Amino acid sequence: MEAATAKVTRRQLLGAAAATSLAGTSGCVQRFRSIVNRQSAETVSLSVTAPPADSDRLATLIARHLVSNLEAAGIEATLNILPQSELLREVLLNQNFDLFVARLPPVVDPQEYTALLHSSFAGEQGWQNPYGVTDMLLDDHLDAQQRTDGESRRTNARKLTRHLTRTQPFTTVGFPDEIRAVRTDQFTGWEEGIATPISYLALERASEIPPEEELSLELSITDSRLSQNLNPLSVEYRQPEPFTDLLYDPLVRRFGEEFVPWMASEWAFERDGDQSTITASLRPGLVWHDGTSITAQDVAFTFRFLSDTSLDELEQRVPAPLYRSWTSIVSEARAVDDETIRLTVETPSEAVAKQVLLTPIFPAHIWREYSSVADISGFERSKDITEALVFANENAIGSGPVEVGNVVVDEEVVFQPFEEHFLTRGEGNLAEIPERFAGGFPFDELRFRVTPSNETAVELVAQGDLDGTAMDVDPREAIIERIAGASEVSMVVERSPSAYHIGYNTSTRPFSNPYFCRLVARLVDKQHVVDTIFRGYGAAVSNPFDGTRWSPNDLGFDSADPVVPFLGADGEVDTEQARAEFRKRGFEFDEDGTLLLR
Amino acid sequence: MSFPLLPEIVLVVSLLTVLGLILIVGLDRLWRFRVDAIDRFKGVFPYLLLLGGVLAVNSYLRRVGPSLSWVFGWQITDDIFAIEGNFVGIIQSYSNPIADLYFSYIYIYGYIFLVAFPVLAYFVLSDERPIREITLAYTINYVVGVLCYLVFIAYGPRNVMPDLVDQILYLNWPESNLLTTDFNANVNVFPSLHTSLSMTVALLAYRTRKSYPLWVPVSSILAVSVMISTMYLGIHWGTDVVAGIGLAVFSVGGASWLVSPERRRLRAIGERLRAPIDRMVDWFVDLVREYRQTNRSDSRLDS
Repeated sequence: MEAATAKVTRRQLLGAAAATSLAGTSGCVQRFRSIVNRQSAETVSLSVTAPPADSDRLATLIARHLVSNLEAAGIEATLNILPQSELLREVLLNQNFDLFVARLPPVVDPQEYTALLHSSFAGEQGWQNPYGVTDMLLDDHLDAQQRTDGESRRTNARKLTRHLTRTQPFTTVGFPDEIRAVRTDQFTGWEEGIATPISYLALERASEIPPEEELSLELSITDSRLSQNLNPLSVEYRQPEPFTDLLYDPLVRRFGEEFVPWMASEWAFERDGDQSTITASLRPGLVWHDGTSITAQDVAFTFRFLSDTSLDELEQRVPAPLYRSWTSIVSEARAVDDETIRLTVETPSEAVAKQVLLTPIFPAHIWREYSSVADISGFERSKDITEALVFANENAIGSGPVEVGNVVVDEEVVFQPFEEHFLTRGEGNLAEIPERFAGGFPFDELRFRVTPSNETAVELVAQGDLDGTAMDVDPREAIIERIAGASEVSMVVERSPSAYHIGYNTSTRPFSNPYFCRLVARLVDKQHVVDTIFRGYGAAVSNPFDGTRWSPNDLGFDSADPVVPFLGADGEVDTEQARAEFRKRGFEFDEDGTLLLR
Repeated sequence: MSFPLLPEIVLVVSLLTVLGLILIVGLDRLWRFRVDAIDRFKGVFPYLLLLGGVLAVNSYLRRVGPSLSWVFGWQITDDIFAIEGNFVGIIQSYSNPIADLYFSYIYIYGYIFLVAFPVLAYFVLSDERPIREITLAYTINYVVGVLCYLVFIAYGPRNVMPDLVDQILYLNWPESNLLTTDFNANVNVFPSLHTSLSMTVALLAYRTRKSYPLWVPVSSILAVSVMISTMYLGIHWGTDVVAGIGLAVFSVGGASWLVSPERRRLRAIGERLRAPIDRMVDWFVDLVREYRQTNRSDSRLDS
């Protein structure tokens, strides 16, 4: 935010001139002080940060819509276009922004709001309260849903949702449909959905392909970040559904509402007063990609490490920038023996406690080495960045179904099936694993190729150079037509789990005033965004849980937002109405109709 | 990364070049040139070497440049937008399928021909000054251009206002995207090197109008078309184009100043710098001559 400094300077000059002339008449000094030493309201310019159209066209367009509507209402605004990694660095790590437009990581359960919004995470980096929210009532709601189960948890979550839609620390615009182009001549089964990378394992070889033929699944990525960094903790390089999920398995995976034992063969929950205990057993014979055995000590290490990547070596904790909704409630992680892990979780709620099992597990023998303070050729810039958060991890060693084959920066990333994975070996009790994952991998190689734009990606799929687009493409008419017109190419459309949202930096003025956030939210015509920017591929929502059991029925988006309805019609702001609403909340406009802020 | 358009480009540009050599340079001039070819090569080689070196450094810097720029660069997208607003959008409002095709071809084929052809045409001239000027002018363009790319961070209009500016080139011709943009280079738009190099060619064409009168109108039409195409296709801002014209004027002025016969001191320095290169080229040329002579005498003996 930039204040109009020219005005201040001139005022100071005049003040200095007045001071000299007034110096003799002491009676006037009091009057002089009360005029000069009082800050007057000034016009400010808000900066809307968004990614460029090449990497997220819809986000750029939403930001454009917001900027022009802010200006229509008399609020000076500029568009600050930053590449994805710079944007996330500025927002998530440096908290250097006014407003930003981006996709929200999938929020499946209300517990995932905890790290995103609880005041105790306002000092942490990453997707930990990037908005800088400190709201005691919100904390109470978050704590209440975390402590309860069943119907009473549902009631608490609904209260939480109601409070969030009222205070608007961020504005949820809508869920887009993810559109992908895929070829059906080598692989089939795309229609089951490929929004999450793990679903590549559920594809099938086309029936005309002989089983002995080596098949490479080649997908486009229109974002070179994956080829530059494979560290799941380098949050600025990760998208909402990260591909690194294929490299690092968790104990349990969540498919829809179901919790499926993954690295763990089974787990048990036990309530113990205000706490609970989860005991999980690892599948027998699990190994890391480098051949080392996976033990319960690795699991215990993971929880300790994600809570403090410096492993208590530093005075201050350096928590991982992700997974904190889960890791922060684990107070103790103990390896009972090589295969059994016991987690003490600070909640009596089973629904919340079992979510900690979704945390990906890291190999202790590798990550322990990265607990030192990160330096640049020996020069330590600050004490709160560990090597673990910044190293590129291009030879990632995990336990996931694929391992790193080859990485060429800005060109391609090749993963290979991990032959020792329990799915490949088919050992142990696989009864609970969904059937589509059984029976080996459909591909002998998974190749992500960096392509410069959606147009090129779709063209390469149409020409048969690629099997599909790993990242979703934008719904421009020419792109949809190209997909529809190509032979042996299908269009897969699925509702995205991650919504477009506008985040406010509520730790600074003017967004520290929730009424201001609410008014800005009312300058976004969500229905218009879905109709014209998403071109109908998506749905407007009032909050990320809109339409689920976690959101009260009366808060459903129904052609208009129930809490922050648009101040205008068809995307155009009604300037008079907007100004009247701002004035109602105590904001003033200058003679040019520009908003003044103190 | 593969270049799916490379065969087409080689074909089209070669055809245009042959046509240009016949119509603009003329067959008799080409015939006379065969005698001087080796001496001309010896004279010009150091200049070509300099340009080649700058191009190599340039391509490396353009790859790593964007990440360096984010550390210390100056973001000017906003300022450009404040200066010109929706100028590019207005140009695009006149778009139609024929213009789409014309400007797409101009941007790829027309531009490559425009920049490559005069190097050949001037090489054939008995006066060495134009070829020295053009290689130096290109060199200055690239050196200043890459420095600007390091200092200034600017996204093109298609990335900033996709609602007003269409991605015409890549929508109609997606493969061309693999050719024209490095993945990370979409922040390298200020100034437009397409514009500055095209203008450089047109300005030099005017300076050599006595030798190649026909090249003046041809290069001017092409240069103006390239300039318009960069904006019409949504790749550059009007500001980038204006800066590109400025860079062209500076490059041509700089190159002709450097090459001018009045710069005796410069010439002395130049002679000293090129002496070792010249010795190497001489040695190489002698080697080739010797080899050809032995071959010739051998074949005479055989018959």
